[in-house]
Amino acid sequence: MTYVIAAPCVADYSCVEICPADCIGPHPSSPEFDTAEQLYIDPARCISCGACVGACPVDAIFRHDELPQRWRHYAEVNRQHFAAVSG
Amino acid sequence: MEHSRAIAIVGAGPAGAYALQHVLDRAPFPVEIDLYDRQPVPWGLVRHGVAADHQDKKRIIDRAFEPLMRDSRVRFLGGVEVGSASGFDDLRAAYDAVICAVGADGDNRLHIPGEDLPGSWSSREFVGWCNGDPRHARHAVALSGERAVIIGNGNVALDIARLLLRPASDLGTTDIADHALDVLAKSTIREVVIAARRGPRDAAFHNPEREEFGLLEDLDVAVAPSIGALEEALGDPDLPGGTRRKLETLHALALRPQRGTKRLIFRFFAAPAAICGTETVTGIRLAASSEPLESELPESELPCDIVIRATGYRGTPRPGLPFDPETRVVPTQQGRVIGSSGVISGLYATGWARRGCKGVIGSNRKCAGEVVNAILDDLAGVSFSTERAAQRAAFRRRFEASDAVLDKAGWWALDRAERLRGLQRGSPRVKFTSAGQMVQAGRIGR
Repeated sequence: MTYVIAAPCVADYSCVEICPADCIGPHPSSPEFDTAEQLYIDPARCISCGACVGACPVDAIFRHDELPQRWRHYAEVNRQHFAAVSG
Repeated sequence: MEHSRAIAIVGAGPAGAYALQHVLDRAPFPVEIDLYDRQPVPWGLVRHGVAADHQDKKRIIDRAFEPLMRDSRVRFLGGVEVGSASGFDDLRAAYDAVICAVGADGDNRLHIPGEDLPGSWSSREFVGWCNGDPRHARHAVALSGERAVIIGNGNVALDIARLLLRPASDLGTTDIADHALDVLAKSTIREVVIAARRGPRDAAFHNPEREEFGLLEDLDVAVAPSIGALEEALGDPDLPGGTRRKLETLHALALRPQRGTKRLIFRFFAAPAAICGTETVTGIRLAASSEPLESELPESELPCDIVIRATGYRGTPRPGLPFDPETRVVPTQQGRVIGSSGVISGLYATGWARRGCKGVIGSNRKCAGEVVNAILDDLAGVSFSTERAAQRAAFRRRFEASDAVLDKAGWWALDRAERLRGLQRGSPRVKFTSAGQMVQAGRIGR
């Protein structure tokens, strides 16, 4: 189980600040943040606490199984972001 | 008790709003902040720039920005243009710190014949018109003919294309301006061409914006000069992952069976040579740009009645602020403004005015964080100044007495009035679209 950041994300990074598992990136202190389209949650490290959901000011974060139909593929998009970074 | 530091923020768009957020959250001493905007309404491009069908992004106003305004340390002064009657120097004489968050007023021009014909619009004008920006609400935008051509393929270009191709009935539940909804409802446009000089690898749009076209049912998507341009890029193993995803889904969209009544064409390697027409736009001539693919794209004229230039924004010099003509920003070091003889004390810049016109809404939060670090360091040692306090009081009295300026109570009255009008239409709000209407609504209801 994981949470997923979908299309409305504006990279406000309140989620990064509240996340106890440090699993959201790119971190604002990194240069990648400056060219990122959005932020992503690493499903391998997410502990599903859900704190990010309330912190997000545009309601861009969903539990993996509660993603709206049109954004279902964002689960894979979030996973792929970290696969590319580490691979 | 420690004295309060007085800060002026000029510009209440996301840059200024995030600076305000950082100050309120982090100041270790008492602060009073006056938030200025040249419009009677706050929130800048989040109100007047974000596409009407992106209501989710606009939630940031109610969730992150409005709570800042409710803080008792904050005053709002809407309808004050800093730099005309009072300049930045005057503000520096009245506040302990002045943050310039004025964004960027300039457009990247094409420098081609016909660019200023009626029917040729900058994205600033067109988007402002759609969103009820008082400076653009009265443009005579006509959506006649069957085709619209948009120059540039960034997110703004795609937002405009989507608004032109979406059924107008979809837009009735958004906060799009009434006049735009009327014109869109009568639009005869069935084809939008998004033309860009460079190839697919350099396409500037983001994935979410491109995905949204896949959700419009009656729409066919095509790629020109040919789909080979996409396939060539996708065949490159070194193509970055984010670009790959963008191009893969564009490729998939373009391969769908074509049976819609509306068309969106992504045209690559096409540079605008001239906009045609004598009294108004009748077409646009596109020429092959410097990287032709498999075949030369001859100069071709596309008939259309409207051309929209979505080629990006640029900073412009402002009275009372230093300006770097190369980078087109206010020169800064860690957010402190640099003039001809070094750091200008008490003057800071954040947002597009500091960074240039790039990034997303949240980029301003990071930028403002850096600038507020410098401000809080500098303000720690600042002592109370009776002269500055007296100047400040004089400013506030003058603006509060003005018929053209709204305070936060006035903004909230205006906001309530817009939301009430929205209830009648079934949308979040129906905007007032002239400064006069705004100020009147703000004063009546407070």
